[in-house]
Amino acid sequence: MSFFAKCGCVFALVLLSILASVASELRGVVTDSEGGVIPGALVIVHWDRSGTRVGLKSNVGIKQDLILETNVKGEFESELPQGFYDVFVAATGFTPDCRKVRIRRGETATYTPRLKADPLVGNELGDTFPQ
Amino acid sequence: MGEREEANGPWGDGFNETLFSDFTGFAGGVWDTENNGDHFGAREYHKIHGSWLSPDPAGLAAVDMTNPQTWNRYAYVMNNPVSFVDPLGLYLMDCAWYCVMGGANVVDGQLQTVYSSSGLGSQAATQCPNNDCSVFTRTYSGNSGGNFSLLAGVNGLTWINNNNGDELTSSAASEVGLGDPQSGLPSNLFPGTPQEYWGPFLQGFNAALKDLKRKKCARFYGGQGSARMSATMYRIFDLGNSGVGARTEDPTSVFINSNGPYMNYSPTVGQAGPFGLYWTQPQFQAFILLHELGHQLSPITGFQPDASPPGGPANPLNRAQSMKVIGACF
Repeated sequence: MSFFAKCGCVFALVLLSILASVASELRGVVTDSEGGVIPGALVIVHWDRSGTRVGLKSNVGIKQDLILETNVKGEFESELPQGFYDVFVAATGFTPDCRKVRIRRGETATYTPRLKADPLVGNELGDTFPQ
Repeated sequence: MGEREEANGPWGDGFNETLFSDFTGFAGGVWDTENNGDHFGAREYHKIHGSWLSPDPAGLAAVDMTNPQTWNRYAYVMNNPVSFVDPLGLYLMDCAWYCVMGGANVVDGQLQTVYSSSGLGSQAATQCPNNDCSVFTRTYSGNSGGNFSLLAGVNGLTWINNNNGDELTSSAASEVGLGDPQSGLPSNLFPGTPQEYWGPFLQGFNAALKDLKRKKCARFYGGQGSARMSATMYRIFDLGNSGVGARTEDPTSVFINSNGPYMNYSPTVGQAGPFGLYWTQPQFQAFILLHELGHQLSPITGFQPDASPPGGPANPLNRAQSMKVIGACF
């Protein structure tokens, strides 16, 4: 391998490592109000394009909404470009939850919603018993 | 030699309210508080001591001192100031219990494995790995750097923070990385379900499975009751209405109200309970789960949603369907 080829390989490795180090990520755990994890919860990630038309460079975002599902541990995660996002979480029988999340370059943003039992569903399914 | 307190506990067998100061009642053992002051945080101990010398009457009623399983059950079931996290598994609970009740000698501040030759003492040898009865003399380190000791009182075992003598709640113990808080989680509950709910859940769940072994009850659910309950995930949390016992989300998903009759019902002696019946607590919990099972297996039982909205009149369908469950299984 020539000297220039070796240098090229080293450069590529350094570039890859730099790119890897600046990966941005969103992750979280969805639980009920007591802390029990909720597998199979729907997580929708929608980009908020604020500032992009007036020169804000740090809001890269995604063009299409990202749809995730929590795993058996109630966890979700995805690499995302830096930016503002609206994250919406829904699960069967729970009141949905959402939040604006800021993901900075190279950082991991976390969102760990604790969902409450939804009263509307409870009004039609909740079994009351005399005590 | 440190201050020695005589063990004249209410049980008359040498067991007093607090294990630390009252080990003298066991097989001639001596507790040397001077030598072990640092190890157990003896200075803080008196702070703890005060709170333990007045056992909760309800706790005493709940604990059968001759049965270690009731210690376990109490520690798991009752939502009381005493918290318990067992980093080594349930065996530690049994081992600790036999160490206490079987008699252990204390020499130079260390509990020795000197058991009586019969009865509880002989069982200690089988309950404690390697005859190791030193569960109370060890210091356990949390992941966050804190050190903790296990103490025993009449209400069960609890963890003490060596730095300040405070009792650890199970959630705090989890935060410092002391043990695996999910060890022993019933398979029908989700990870993260608070440990205080495990015992009540299993109590009702197992009682319901027992009810389903009766022919009439099994027939009511088309012979699918036990299998369906075993395949169901139960979620225990606040459903926002204390009158709600539970609700069925789908055929394999049931929510149990952590602030409702499943957790809060306790029978009054000589007084009829719901539906005019004399329930035990496990029976009533089982009834709630079996009512939900009726919804889960609605194609078989014919159950329809029967909620009573908050503030509204009781849904007569709920009562009618409940009476079907009672007629079949109780």
